[in-house]
Amino acid sequence: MTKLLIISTQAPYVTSAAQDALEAALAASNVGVEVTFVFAQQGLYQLLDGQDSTCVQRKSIAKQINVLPLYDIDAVYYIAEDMIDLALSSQALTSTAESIDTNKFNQLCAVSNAILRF
Amino acid sequence: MQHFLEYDGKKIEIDGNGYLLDYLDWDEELSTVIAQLEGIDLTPAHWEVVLFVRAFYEEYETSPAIRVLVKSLSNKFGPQIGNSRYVQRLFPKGPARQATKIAGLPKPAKCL
Amino acid sequence: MFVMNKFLIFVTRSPFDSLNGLTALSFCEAAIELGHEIEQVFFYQQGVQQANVDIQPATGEKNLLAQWLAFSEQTKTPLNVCVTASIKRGVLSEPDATAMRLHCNVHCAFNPVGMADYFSALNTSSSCDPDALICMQF
Repeated sequence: MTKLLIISTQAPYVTSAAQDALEAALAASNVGVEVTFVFAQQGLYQLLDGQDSTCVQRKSIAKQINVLPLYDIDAVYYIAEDMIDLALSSQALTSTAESIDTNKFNQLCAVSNAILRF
Repeated sequence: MQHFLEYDGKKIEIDGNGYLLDYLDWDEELSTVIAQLEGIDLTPAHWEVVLFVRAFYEEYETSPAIRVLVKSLSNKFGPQIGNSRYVQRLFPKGPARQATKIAGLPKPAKCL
Repeated sequence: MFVMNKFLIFVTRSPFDSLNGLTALSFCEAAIELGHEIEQVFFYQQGVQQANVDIQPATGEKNLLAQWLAFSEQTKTPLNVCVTASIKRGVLSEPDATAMRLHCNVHCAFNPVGMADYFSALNTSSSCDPDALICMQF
């Protein structure tokens, strides 16, 4: 099975990158690609609980992240070091994503057939 | 160009394909109106799927692809209802598109 | 020993605001020059603007679209543009423009496709020869 790694590195709503990354993930999964989704850098802000996107007139990124498992995308991670850099705590982040360290991230990169970074 | 759906003295904005522009404009009567335009008389079996699709969108802000719809229906109602032939019979023009339209949801992205 | 690679190219930025498109095109040209194959170029996010015929470069500036066209014609490389990403950005292919009664501004050399098309290509190529396949994102 083809392994695709999607890395989402931007904060939600400021640009369309978070949305574009999620749409790519769903489309890939729909045609049978095995998707691993990693939140890195500012992308971790997408995982914050209690997002209200109505004030920025956008669909909620948090809600769309929660749909990933229903599309058989169970490998959803964030990079622990980036969480520390951003002074976030794991309690504030959605439980859909699991914490990984840089080593594990490097391994994911190494075993993927393709990588897309948004 | 603006398009509207008029019923019961109300004027609801829709897109060129008949999907609601704002899914919050919906009420159950609106589903009946859209279904009639689609040539469907809503039975309790239709309602079950329509309301399910709507709840799905409210939770995830995205309409389910057909295989996800079928799987989720199966998880909730069992394999009798969660199978593609069953939903295809209810919504002959394609369950993903037609059920979302009747549920007052935006048109699903072409890519998805 | 020379090993032929198959490339899938993913372009994500618009022609004027970024060097992204030119970098991608130069890469494609160089790869073909060296005997590799470009299976397709896929335009996503702002990359869909690469297909926009309404973009008029200022006098004295190069027209990147013309260069994509020349490249595609010479090498028979498919240029595929994501429909969902493009409609949102006002870049309309013929069928969508007709349906919306708006004017078409996607050059006819670009194929309007779904993202599923790109990932299917990825799936197919990677299952028949995973070592030869390289996906490049620009």
